[in-house]
Amino acid sequence: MAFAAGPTAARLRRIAFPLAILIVVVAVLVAPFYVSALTRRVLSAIFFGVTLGASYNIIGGFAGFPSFGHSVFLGTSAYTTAILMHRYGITFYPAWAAGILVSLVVAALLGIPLLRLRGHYFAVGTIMIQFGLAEIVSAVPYLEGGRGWTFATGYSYNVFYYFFLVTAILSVLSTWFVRRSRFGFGLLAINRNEVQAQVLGVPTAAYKLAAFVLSAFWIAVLGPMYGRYLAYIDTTVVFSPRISINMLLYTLIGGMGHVVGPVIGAVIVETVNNYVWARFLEIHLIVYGVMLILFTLFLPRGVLGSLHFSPRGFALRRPKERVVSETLKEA
Amino acid sequence: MLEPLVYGLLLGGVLALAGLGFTLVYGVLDVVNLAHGVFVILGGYVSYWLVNLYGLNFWQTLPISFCVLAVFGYLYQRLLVQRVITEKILYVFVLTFGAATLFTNIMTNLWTNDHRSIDPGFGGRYLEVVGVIVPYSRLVVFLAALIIMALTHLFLQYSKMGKAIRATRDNSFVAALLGVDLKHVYASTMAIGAGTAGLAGSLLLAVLPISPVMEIQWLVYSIVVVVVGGVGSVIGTMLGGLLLGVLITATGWYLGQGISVGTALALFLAMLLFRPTGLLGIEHEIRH
Repeated sequence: MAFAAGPTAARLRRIAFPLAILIVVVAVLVAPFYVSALTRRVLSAIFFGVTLGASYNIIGGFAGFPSFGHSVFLGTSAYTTAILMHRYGITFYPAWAAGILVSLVVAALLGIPLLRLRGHYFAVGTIMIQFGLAEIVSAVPYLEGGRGWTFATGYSYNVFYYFFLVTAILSVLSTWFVRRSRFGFGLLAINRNEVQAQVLGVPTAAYKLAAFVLSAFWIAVLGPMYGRYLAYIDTTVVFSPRISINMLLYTLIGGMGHVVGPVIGAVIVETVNNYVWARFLEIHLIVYGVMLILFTLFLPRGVLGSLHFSPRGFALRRPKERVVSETLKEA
Repeated sequence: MLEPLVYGLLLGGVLALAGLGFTLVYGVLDVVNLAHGVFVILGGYVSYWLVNLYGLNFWQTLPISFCVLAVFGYLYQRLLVQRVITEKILYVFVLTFGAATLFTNIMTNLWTNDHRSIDPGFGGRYLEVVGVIVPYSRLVVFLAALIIMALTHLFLQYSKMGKAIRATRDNSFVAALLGVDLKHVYASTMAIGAGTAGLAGSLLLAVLPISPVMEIQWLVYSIVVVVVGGVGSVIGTMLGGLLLGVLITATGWYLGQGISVGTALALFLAMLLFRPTGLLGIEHEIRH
């Protein structure tokens, strides 16, 4: 008996993961025809979050540069598209492409000075970009940031559903390719120790900039479609610090630097967001703050980081041994 | 031409006082406290409610504001930040951001987002200096901010706890060897940072309206003051505050309100690009 069970179990395990993915993919493909409008909206929000989280993972998870201002790329592409459409009468698709392009250029321009900073300064710099850029866009009359722009929706909600689904899949696949590439290993090396990586021949400056711009790409792709989905944007919507923190939260809860981390994180956060917080509108943000604190204190490695995979299944990883003080290590 | 300069310098006192706690905490704990703006606004509210509910004189509320915020800061450090202080900085950022979101929205829920301000007891009296009308309230608030900063400096220089704080800043390992209780010193530093921020908020209340959502604005100002002045320098913080005060008042004067955070951002980027150690930074590098 045991003679036969071994290989069968091994074969089962080998196909279990692809099978599970296949089932999930088929389920989400047919879902809009079977579920309620609310569920469809929640699923759309999850896919939207997966895309944001997966993009964020490249710079925040792989390279280890925690950005707190990535929603500016969502805002830049959405605003560029809206301005091109309203002020110059350009149709949606060319305007969309231009929006993505402008967003990537902005990412490169911001990335060059920001990525020279490390640690606290990089994070503080992105926070400043987040709040400063939102305010500048609001203040400049040409951009109409304060009043905002309208979008003609033009699609059914199913179209948005599939669009968000496709971008989610593509963005996760792209992080998977990055993770397995030479470029991805370079980013991981930078994350571990940037100076050592440089000494070993990783072109750190170029890799960091490439990671920063790449992490802006799918977010920029989403911007204009998000505008159409909502039919109206202003700076509080697309330049929102909440969106920037959410990206971080998806990756953090799922597991920083894991390819599927943002998927798990987005599913958890957006499900909780839409089904639990919606009942407590008044104290919504209080609950959000508490959740941030609790996750940092009790699940800092995220779901995937806390699980230990082994041939026998998985178990909760033992808690990390804590050092008494970082400074004790230094000296 | 002179008005924005004078008003900017006077506002700069409060900005510098707000930045003082931030630079102290950053210098000693190596923690970027994103809840610092909350401390400022909370201090303002403590004064506001003491004046409006208990009929205290505005100046009497200042020591109470300091004490309330100091206790708050001590507990905040001891119960929350201390738990992640040895982790990657990412966790400190997320934790303090979460705390800021939490506290801001508690304040919003309790007290709404109405703008609040207070008359510190000078009526509308003013002083006229070379054609510029300077209200007494602004002048006295500026002087009070200077005095509080000077007192903080003296405390850090001469008191026992102040010496322990500076020793921890210079080398926490040796400080710990010599018997300094690091956790207590960290929490005390946060307490002083929160207390002075609270005083800045109280003083702010006397010259400008406040509301809970303004915590972001004051966090950004504090960061910029510190980046301009250089980490760990009281004089530098003062200079940073005055410079930022003049800049945001001038842009507000000529370009309209609502661009002050943008101005602060521009100043921040300029400093990072051209003088990353700050005007008077003490041997501080941008490397972590």
